[in-house]
Amino acid sequence: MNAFYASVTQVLEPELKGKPLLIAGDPEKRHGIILTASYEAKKRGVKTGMPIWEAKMHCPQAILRPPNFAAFMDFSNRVFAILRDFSPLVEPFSIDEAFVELTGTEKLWGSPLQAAQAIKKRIKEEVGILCSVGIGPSKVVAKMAAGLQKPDGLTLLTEADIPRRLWPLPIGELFGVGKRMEQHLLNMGIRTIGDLAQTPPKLLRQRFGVVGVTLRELARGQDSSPVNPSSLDTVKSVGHQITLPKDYSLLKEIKVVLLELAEAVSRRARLGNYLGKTVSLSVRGSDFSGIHRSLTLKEATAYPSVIYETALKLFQQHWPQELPVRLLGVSLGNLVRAEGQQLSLFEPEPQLYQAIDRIKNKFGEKSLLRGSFLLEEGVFYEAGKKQDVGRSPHYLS
Amino acid sequence: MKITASKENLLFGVSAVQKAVNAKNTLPILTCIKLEAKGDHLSFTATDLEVGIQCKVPAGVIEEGVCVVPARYFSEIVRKLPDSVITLELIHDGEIIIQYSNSELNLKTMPADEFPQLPVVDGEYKLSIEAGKIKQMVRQTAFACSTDESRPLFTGVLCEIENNEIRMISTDTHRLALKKEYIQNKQKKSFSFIVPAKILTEMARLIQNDEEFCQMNISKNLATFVIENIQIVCRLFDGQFPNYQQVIPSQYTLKVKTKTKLFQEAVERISLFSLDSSSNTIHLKIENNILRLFSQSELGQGYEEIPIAGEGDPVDIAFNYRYLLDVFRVLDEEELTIEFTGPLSPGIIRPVENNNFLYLVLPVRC
Repeated sequence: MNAFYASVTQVLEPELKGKPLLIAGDPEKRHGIILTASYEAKKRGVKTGMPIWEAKMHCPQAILRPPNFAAFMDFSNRVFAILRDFSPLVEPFSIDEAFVELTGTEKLWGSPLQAAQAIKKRIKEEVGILCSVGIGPSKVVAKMAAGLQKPDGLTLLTEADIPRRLWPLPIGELFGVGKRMEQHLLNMGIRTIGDLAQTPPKLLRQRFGVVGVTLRELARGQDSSPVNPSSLDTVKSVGHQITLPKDYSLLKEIKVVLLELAEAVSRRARLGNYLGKTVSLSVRGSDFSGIHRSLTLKEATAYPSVIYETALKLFQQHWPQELPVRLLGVSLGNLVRAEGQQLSLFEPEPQLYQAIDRIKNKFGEKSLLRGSFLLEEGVFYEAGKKQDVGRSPHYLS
Repeated sequence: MKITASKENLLFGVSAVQKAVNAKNTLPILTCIKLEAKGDHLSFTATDLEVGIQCKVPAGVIEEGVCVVPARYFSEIVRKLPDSVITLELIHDGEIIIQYSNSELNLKTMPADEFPQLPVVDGEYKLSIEAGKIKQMVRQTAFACSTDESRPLFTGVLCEIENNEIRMISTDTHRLALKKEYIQNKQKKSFSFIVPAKILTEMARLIQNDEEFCQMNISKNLATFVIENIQIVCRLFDGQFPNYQQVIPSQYTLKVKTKTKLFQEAVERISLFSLDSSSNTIHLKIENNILRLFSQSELGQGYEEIPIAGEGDPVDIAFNYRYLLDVFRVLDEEELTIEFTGPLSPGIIRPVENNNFLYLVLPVRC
């Protein structure tokens, strides 16, 4: 979908149509980052991820709106429902992206091009937003094709088109190449997707291992992964992160936030009936430096004490003491289903949290809080006013 | 030092102290066995500083004295000696001569004064229990201990003495075994201590004669156990054992009675399908005097029904089958009862003809 958050907001508030619109968080809480800009604002140079003040410099007349995640989710579900009318094999990739396997539907919808046009028409008429469709022989080619024409695009790439259409693109555009990988590849003199496609696989294996070879295959448009409609059903991790309202430098303050995050993460894991073995901590400093560290536990857990202690240990081990903290995140990964888990004696938390969960299910997430969360430094439940902290990790499927 | 002894006696001494020798110890002296000839016996001593074992065997002492020999070589030699009278003699340049028939072996020794003295325990509490009783208690509890060294307390067995009762409790937090016995005890004060399970197991192994008595001497952090000619000194765990009584339910919603062997064989057969899965789960469903065991994996599935005498609410519960099989190995009684209080609460297994033993096992979430 094109400029999805902005498009949805424009459908809900038709008077915003055709105007430069910015969807951004609350600058008061320092969430003032542009999540999406409408195409009218994009034309004037606003980019996703810009702080509000910078966006305003590019486009002073832009209208600001906060994100309405419930509406985004609803629109997303409606679009995906349309896709499922065309093929049972629909793999949601993010809130506004999905893969559809059209092989075998030719007798029903005609050629892929005709099917794509029908899809675009229905989304435009029934949901009211525009999208870019890419058609290709594999998931990676289709995804890259969709990016070639925005907004309201429709691009078909065959195997033979790849060298002409994709290879001249800079290497950073390749699906699967992030900032760091881009730098590594540039350092090796690999500047375009075509360069990577023509690099001997042996060299890439030596430098990056299996990942290098896979990337080269992607650059050649080879991607054997099937369209998997249930890829989101298996949750890999649950996590929460939060930008602090001001920089924290005292361990005392940071401890409160880590405990809040551990409490929220464990609650969500329990709601989905999961236990996790790996605790990860993300920290970003006031200078935007950042770390991401994780530790794998001996036994899987879904309770805050171990998660908190592990996150705190990681923080103390890896974060320089004097550096002010801007953002904190805790996540629980390596998830396993709680069914089939051996119960243990002498652990008070399972029983305690069984009771706590029952209370929270009935009276809401904020019906029962630790005293420390009400301290001035506690932020999560304050910010959580607008966000549903206790949503089950199943909510995407 | 010069003595004569039979191969049998030497071998007994060597194998009695073997468990206290750590061949990988970085202190070379601790990889050795100390031999001491005195009066009419030869004593063997070994220690790794956590546990010390001493064993006395009868010997013809020609000249009293002490020597320290490398445990690995000495025990190998003793094992391979012929069944005849053996002479051991320490000669002046630090070598021991082992003579048999017309042959002799020479083995280098270590300086005897470097070998650590076993601590003498003069504890507050002294106790004497029939060796057979303690052997049975250890057999029925030590198996339930944890082997995870990161939580050392659970690698030990809790011993509680109260009036004329001694209780041993062990748990790895997933199951718990409790055994009690009655003893002669003059001490009014009740007391408790935690002994490493592997030391109790070793002690039980060394008991030759069930009629003998085991003399215990317990101080704050050390204990000695003396049985006949063997003495074991060990460190006790320092720490608070969790309140185990609190986790044993006092009531139940279902109690069933069945034949031990019948139940055991059914679990053994049905668990075959759980061998490969990581959770080792076996399902139990009890309704209308029928116990239905069920398990499945990618390989296949099976179920078995056994008749039971039960009273209470039906239950649908899952266990790690290994924890069930473990207890069958130490149950001697023909019949057992199992008590349940729901699918997430522990099941309690007791022998019918004996209320001195209970085994609690926590279920697997299903």
